[in-house]
Amino acid sequence: MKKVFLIIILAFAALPVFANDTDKQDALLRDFLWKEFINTPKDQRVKTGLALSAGGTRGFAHVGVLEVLENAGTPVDMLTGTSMGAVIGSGYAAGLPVSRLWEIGENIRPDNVSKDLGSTGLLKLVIGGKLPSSKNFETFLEETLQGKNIEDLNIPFACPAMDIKTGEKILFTSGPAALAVRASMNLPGIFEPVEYRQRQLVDGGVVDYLPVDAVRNLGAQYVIASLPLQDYSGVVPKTVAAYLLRIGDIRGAILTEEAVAKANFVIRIKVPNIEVLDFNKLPIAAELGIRETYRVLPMLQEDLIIFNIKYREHEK
Amino acid sequence: MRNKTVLIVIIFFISAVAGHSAIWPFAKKEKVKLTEARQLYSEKDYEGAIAKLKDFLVEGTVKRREKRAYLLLGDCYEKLGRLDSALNTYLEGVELNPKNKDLLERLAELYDRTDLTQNSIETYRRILDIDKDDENAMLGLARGYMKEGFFSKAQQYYKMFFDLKPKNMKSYFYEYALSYYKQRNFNAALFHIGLSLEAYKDRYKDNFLAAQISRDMGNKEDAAKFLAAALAAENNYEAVMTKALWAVQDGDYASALKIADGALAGSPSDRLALYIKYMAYARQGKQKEARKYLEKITAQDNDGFIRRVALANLNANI
Repeated sequence: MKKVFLIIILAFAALPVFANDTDKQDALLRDFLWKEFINTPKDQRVKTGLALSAGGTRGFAHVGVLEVLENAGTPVDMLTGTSMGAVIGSGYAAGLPVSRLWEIGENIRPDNVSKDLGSTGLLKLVIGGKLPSSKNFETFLEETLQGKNIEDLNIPFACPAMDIKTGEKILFTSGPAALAVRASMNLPGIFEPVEYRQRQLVDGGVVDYLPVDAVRNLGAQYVIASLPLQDYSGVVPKTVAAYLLRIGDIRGAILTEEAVAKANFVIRIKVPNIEVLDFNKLPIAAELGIRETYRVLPMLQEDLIIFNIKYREHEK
Repeated sequence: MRNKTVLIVIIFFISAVAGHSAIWPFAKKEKVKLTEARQLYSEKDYEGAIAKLKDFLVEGTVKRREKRAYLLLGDCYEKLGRLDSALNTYLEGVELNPKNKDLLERLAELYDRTDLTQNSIETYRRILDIDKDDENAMLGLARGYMKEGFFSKAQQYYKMFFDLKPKNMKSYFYEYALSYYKQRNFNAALFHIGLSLEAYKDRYKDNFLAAQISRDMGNKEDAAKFLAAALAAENNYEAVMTKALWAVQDGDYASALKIADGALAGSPSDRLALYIKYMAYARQGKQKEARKYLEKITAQDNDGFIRRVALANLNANI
């Protein structure tokens, strides 16, 4: 017996420096406890929700966030999203693989959103004073989400919009998913409001840029927030519409402070020089999402493991 | 007309010879400097070589040799560990020779080594724009994206590389398997690590990865077999402690404690070993004994994960 112990000690004495490398020791335990956490039955662990912010094209960074979280096996028990966050979030909640979300980003064109974004739309605006309609986008979403209602999605989902008549926040937790998502990203001043049950709905980013409360209302005990941040250094808007979009975007982002404080973990992705409707740059935004999320992943895992320990104790 | 043409040709020829004669002595002198620098480099006198090369690049008139001089100068800096200077050298070289693949490659490699992964990726992309079949750039991009956590993209570049160099595939199956493992695509990971093990059956890292994949797939028997093979290849702390952690998970507390004791005998403050002992006792319901190890960890002066998780458990009043 003593001989065996001596052999073990000798074996350890011969181990490389790694034995004293605290970062690697941390990584080993983190990896072990993380796997135990993600393999714990849902009803015995903390419920984890994901809130995806607005941000136009920049919001496509959420796809990168989802790819990294999924690769790590992170449980997403419920999901909310505003504007572009609603588009990505609803797709994921509907069970679309992340690779399909990438494809959407690589192939989406302005006419998928509206047939009136070209010169005919401008003519309608000038002559008829009529804003373009985002109806095309609803059709596109109908196909992508297979005509599902929100309550039929694989993961509980919600998305906010705003009633332009009253300034109220309307949180969609049920009903036709395509219409709700269209309303959530129906940019005010760019597209005509979406009519739904006597309401005139526009982009939810105006009232709930980062829907943390909404995901808590769905039952999340731990909230991961994904927030692509604007960095406009060097890009001056060239059109009236671009100015309006940027002002809305900056204002919305300023209003996130409160929501950020309510989240448990915020993934802040700096997305430089991408305008709100810069469709060609969607994959760049997603790549930035991957890079930042992968960088902070160990911190998120550690935080969630420790939160779960406290939660389990609280539940006893 | 004919005489006129002959006259122009003669004038052109004379001026070309005259021009060359004027430059030639300098060119020869410069060539000597480069040769001397090479000689000093081969004698490992990197400082001497740097002095000659700087001289050559400042005064040099023979443009076509610049590329080689920049490569050599950068290499000298790298040999001396002056990576900032090496980086600046390659950047300057690339600025003057933007389509030179050798310089771009060195630059990309150095970016990668200094953890400027994004710059490395951009530089490798530039190489592929110049030569779409450059295998080093494909491999560099695959590895760069692995570092960034963009495994699906990394796989695209590995596949491109494999298509181009099918004979070299086996050397890279480990990395390729790892990319699938990181995506939790265990079947693909196991398949490719199997291929790697055919070529490197006694290599530590292949056996360790095979052990992890098998364990995650729920095949504990194979996991133990591969872990034993990994430990036979290399007495690695990571593998030893993984064995202890798995023993805790499987309820084999005696083995876990024995391994942890072995680690603590060599290094009494080993936090991972202390935490393993905590888990082994706590999972047996021996809370008093378990708490002792949490206290030992939290008494240590650091703010690493193990201490924080120990503190959380301690506060949770085990």
